Amino acid sequence: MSVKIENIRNFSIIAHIDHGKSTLSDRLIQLAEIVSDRDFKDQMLDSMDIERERGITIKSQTVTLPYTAADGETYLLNLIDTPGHVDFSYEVSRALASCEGAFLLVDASQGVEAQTLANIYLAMEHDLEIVPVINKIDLPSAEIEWAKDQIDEDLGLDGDSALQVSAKTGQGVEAVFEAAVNLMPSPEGDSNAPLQALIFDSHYDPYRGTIVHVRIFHGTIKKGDKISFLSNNSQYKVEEVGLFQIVRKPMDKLEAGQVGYIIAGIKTIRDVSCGDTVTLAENPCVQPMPGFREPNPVVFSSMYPVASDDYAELTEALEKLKLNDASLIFEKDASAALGFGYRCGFLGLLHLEVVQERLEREYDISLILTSPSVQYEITRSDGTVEIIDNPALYPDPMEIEKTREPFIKAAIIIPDRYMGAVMQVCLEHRGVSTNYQYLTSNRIEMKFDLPLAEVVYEFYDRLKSVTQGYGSFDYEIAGYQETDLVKLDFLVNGERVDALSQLVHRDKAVDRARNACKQLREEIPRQMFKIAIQGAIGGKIISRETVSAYRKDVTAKCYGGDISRKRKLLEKQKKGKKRMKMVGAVEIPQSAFLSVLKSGK
Amino acid sequence: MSEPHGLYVHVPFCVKKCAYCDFYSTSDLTLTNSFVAALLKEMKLRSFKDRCIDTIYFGGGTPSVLTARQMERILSGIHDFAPVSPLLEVTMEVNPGTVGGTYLADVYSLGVNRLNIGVQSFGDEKLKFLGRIHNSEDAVKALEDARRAGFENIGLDLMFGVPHEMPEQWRKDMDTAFSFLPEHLSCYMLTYEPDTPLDNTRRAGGVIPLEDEKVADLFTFTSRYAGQLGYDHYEVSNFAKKKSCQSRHNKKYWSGVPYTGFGPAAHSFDGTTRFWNHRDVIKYIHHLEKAELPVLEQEFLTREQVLMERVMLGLRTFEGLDISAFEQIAGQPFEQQFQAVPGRVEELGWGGISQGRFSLNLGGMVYLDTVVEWFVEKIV
Repeated sequence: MSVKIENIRNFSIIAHIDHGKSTLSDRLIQLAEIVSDRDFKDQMLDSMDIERERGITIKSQTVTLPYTAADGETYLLNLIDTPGHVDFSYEVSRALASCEGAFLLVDASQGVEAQTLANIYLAMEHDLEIVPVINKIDLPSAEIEWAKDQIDEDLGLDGDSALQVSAKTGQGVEAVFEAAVNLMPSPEGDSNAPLQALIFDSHYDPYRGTIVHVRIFHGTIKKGDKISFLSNNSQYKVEEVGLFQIVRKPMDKLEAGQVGYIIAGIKTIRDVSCGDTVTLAENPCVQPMPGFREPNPVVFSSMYPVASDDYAELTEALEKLKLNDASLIFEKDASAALGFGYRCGFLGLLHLEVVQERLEREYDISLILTSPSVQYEITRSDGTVEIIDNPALYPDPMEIEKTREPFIKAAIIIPDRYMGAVMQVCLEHRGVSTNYQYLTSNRIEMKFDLPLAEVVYEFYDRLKSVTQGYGSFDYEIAGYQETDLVKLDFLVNGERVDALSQLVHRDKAVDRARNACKQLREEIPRQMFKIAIQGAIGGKIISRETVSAYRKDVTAKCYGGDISRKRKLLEKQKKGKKRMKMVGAVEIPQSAFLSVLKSGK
Repeated sequence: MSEPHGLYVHVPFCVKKCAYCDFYSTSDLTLTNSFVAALLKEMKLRSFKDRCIDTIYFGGGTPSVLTARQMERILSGIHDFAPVSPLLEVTMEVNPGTVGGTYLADVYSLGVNRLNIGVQSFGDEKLKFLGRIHNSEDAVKALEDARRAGFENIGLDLMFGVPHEMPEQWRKDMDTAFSFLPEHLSCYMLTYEPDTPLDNTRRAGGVIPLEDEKVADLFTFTSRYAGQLGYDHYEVSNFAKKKSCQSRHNKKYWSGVPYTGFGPAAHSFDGTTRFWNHRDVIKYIHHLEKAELPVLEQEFLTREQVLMERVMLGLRTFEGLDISAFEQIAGQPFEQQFQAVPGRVEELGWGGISQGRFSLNLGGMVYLDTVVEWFVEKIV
């Protein structure tokens, strides 16, 4: 399947969440006939369980699709599927670095949304040829002309030239291939030049070691070559190169313009980092490829294994996960209540949840997470300034001169009937409305300055719920503003549980404490004695709940022959029990720690 | 032949669905004939000859929305399924308000020998809250008609624990029930099952459930009061006048004996595998029209799951868990498996081991869910 560089196209599909990227990818894969119908399943490129369950894409995935075009030539089309959620923009920007073109998908009934805009800017940064595609034209609510107008006006692209497809029914999908062939440029590169390959992703395979995902810009790589990573000069012998076709398809060589993988028996995970350049040891290239911008974590939380013995496994799991999720950062941390763990930085709360779930599922480690926090800037009385994201490091309030917290500029696009509700949610979260404008006669873009800490805590869920899913949200970090912060502690049975502590705005402290105590009361199982749960600022108790000893809990219900249902309930409870942490004399389940992260609503 | 088998028939029709109920039913009564035809096909498809059946239970839904003629077709169809024991218990759930005229006498003559009447309450306000279609008068009439029709084994279902219910109010329901000298009584707690209209109202704040503590007190009261009147509390929700009046069919569920369920959403157990049918009468009928089994899902029980079920079901009965039978499956001594748990229960005065069985007393039964959890934790 070796083709000339002129017959290669590297492209990505970008869109707002739910506009049908994964469905379109599925159709393209089917058209290219690289999997049999028997093996085909929906969301083909979303291989993680979490992606399938939540119906979202988290990881970019690559697939090489052979296509014989109308001109009779065979092309290799490299499709890179990208995530749509705002937390994963970093993932998108890396995927785009290995493309020359992008299809921009717009839902025919929803039109242009916040992430459509954010992603098109990313694509422009990378100088990609952008081809608009109007999807879901089969829906009764599809308004194709309106979508065209939006593409003209909001995106500055030619709406009339937009492809019209229904990824669901397959209508118009073949034209996407033709457009890739005819409208998108082929990669430029010289197969005879020294090897210059950009690592845009990698993952760990227990049998083969680290699998490096690369885009070859110049040169050729084949089995037996000795490669070198430019950033650290570590060298490996290539065992296999190939293409991604859902499964790995070994090839004799990879040449300039191609996207594929390298297997080189790499067991030292730290040697491989995204954005690094791979070259040949004997004929190295001089210049590294421009890497990616460093990810900027905004949310921090500590992770502890439920079983302290699992610390070593957690370390290994985080390192392996980092291969596949370059945006994850972590460093050692310790807690009096929970022992050794890691302080981790995330791109957002969804990212945090995804990392936690992946660690639990892919690496089978039960975790306890502490309340997520943003980075506060604290000026001490002596004038020194420090950045603090961990409540454990919060100084004595007497020593604090002033505190500043990060703010964001949020752009929210909604049908205008939700304006009041959205305004309310933003105000509740200490937001300040800065501007709004009508995009069309009934869709409005509202702008707010919001404390990042508020967005981290349930804001996105609330927004989705008040707009019934029609709200789209995007944000950028916009500097620090002065704030009034307190450290909220929680005591269980008189003992302070450091892992539950959180930094909150003073106005929110009482509410937050009450909510958290209630949640904890629900989650902490009855022990053989009465337990007090208290929220405190410094020495002052501001909320209290009690978990009484045994509660009468007989259920005299008729289940008929449906025994499975009751048993499954028990199995679930039992699983929860395994995730208990002893704090003093009290068993606190993992779910209790999690419940405090979420609001009481 | 191996041990006798139980047979359950789910009749998925109701004139109107009650607010609290989460059993599957539809109020489209035009489907009853096609349902009966499908049911007969299902019986043929599943037939076996090597075991006999000795209990049949018509549940629902409301089995009494079927005509006597339809009941006759089903009962004769059962012979296509499996040999029938001469000591057959045939129970039918009926609802007051659906059993007019000679209906009860008709089904009695067809061989139904045990009635379970869904009375729920003799108080009209409570019946209305529960969303029942009948009133207290209908309930009384159904009970009288049942005796007149010849039934000698009558059970009734009552429900307790509705919001604000006080022991005195609940006692009135029991008193009226006992005045009919029923052979059997089932007293169920009102529970708020997800996706029922009642639970939706609760979540919207429209109804505030009675606190667990008070419900548990009603439970204790029920047991003591029924005991004074000579009724044996033999399972967490069931009372019988004599041992011979206990529900033989339901005991199969609690003791791990195989049973086959027919009809939409019906569950079956063959000793190692549990499976259940589509929870949709139309799907059910379609599958059988194509001569396919209407099974939605099945699960093969692991050893751990079997043990879990034994504990969870065994402790519901006051007879308790058969220790040697349990040890045989577990492959290790009871004490070794459960370590300190049985001792802890005994120390609390909640129950203990006697005559080769571990059982809870009434004081322990109010903590049933907690105790089961303790045991289940030790099953690995």
